[in-house]
Amino acid sequence: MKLQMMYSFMKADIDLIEKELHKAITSDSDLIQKASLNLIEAGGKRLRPIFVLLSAKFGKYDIQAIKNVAVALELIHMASLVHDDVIDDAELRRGKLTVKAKWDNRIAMYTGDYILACSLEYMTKIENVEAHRILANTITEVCLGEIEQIKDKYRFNQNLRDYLRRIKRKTALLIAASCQLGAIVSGASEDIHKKLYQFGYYVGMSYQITDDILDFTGTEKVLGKPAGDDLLQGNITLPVLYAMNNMNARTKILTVHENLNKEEMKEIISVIKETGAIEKAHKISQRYLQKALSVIKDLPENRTKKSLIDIANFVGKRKF
Amino acid sequence: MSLQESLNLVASIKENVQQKITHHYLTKYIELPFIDEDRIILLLNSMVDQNIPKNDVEKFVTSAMLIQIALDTHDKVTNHGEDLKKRQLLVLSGDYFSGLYYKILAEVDNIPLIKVLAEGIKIVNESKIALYRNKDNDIDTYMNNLKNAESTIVTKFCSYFGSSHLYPIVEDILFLNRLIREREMVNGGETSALFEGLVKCIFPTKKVLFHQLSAEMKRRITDTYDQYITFSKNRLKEYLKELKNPSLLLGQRIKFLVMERQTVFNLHLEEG
Repeated sequence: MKLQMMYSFMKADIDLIEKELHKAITSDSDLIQKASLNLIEAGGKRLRPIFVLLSAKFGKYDIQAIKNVAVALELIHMASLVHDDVIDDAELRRGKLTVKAKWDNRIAMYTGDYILACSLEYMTKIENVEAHRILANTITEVCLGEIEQIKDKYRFNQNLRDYLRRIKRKTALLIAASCQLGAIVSGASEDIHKKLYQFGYYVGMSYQITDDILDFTGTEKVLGKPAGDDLLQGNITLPVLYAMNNMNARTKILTVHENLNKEEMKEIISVIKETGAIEKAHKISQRYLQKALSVIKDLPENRTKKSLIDIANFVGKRKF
Repeated sequence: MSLQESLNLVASIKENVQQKITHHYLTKYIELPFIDEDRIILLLNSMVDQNIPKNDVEKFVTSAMLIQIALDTHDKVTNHGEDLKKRQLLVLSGDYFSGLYYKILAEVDNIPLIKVLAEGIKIVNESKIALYRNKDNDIDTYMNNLKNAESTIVTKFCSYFGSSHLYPIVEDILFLNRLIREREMVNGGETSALFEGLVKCIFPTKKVLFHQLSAEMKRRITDTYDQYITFSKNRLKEYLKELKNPSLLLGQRIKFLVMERQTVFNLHLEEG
């Protein structure tokens, strides 16, 4: 089933969010306007706004209020992508030139900062202080996670705990916050918004582990970057950690450096695959998924819950 | 508040900010950002006589300082020739400092101030893009963009606390500080983005850097530059006359800026 089909009953609201995203970034600077539109029109899964809307269905659903949170979260995600492309020196994203490639790093910095400000401005339409505290805390944790990622690059002696802590901050927290904020702003009970937070957290962990697996199993055409690119950049992901339990693979992995050529990387990817590390990582991803499904078992049975289950399963099986 | 009490408060806020931006790993690779005391003084002045608890005053000013530092940090991200790790950490530390501004204000429940400062961030970045691209700018537009980039966070803060009357002082102090700082850089033989921008404004057809210009061309730029410094100083002298109590910290700072911080061009203009 396609991702969009899983929440088709909310199509009108999703379309509204798309329109709001366009409205959210209006600038006197034609360059900011162009760069931001480029980004919005490049699309994306819009996972965060979808989670916000679905979670809001567990409370008093008012799209006019909840759209502000949904838009704010997508804008935060977008702003971080613009800056991430400077960090990764990335030329392409979703098949399109990145802001830093089309213009340069400085323009990307200013555009990202502008989008983040738009996001916070949108969020301030929400008066719920708890929602702001959760989001602010999430933003700072995400940044600290990214700083940790830089610190841990090419640090081959890290352990599973380091990895899980890093992906929690890097990915899971923002998805968890999306689920929780949707519920909080719609006035759902504490029990429900905490469960949704847990659900988002587990889905986010599973999502990132799958992402890290796809770095080895995906094709350049689908991923938009060469296979093994994460490892080449020094990111020690779960498949790498598992593969390092094998002495032969470990020896090969320890030779990785940023100037490794394509053929050498191809060989290392093949060695990693032979160790069974991909399957082991997949099992962990599935385990997080099961936890996600288990935590929402007690939520009221409705169409929304079914959508959350479908999306969680999609995350576990996705190939892109 | 007496001069000494003001000085203590400024020092305490500066220490708070310093503490917030100090991160064991970041400080290994990037310089600790500059914490501008003049900005702290201006931010504090916007809240004078408003009966805001001291703890809140400190938090509001700290958050505005953090956002300014975040934006300044992102100015340091270059396009080429820099250590990759340093560039990556400049991006992330700026993002982290932005997050801290939001976090502090969310903790003290001040959502309207989050909004006002977010509006300010937008204007600052629009102005920075205009400055950076510097396309078809006349010199007044260029300097106006610089003024906005330097002062909007503080003027937005002032507007929130009903101190719009401080706008001109804020604009001129921060503008003048920047002009003097950049002039000192040029005097020290460094490259100044501001001077290169002026070359583009005044000699749009010349594709050369400031230091490659002839002595006469350099003089034209430095004369124009000095005019802006003089105008700002003169305006500040006028504000000083209208200030209720010029012996307090803000008055002292203005006096220092217009009277004492005397730096002049020591360029070897004949070397063009």
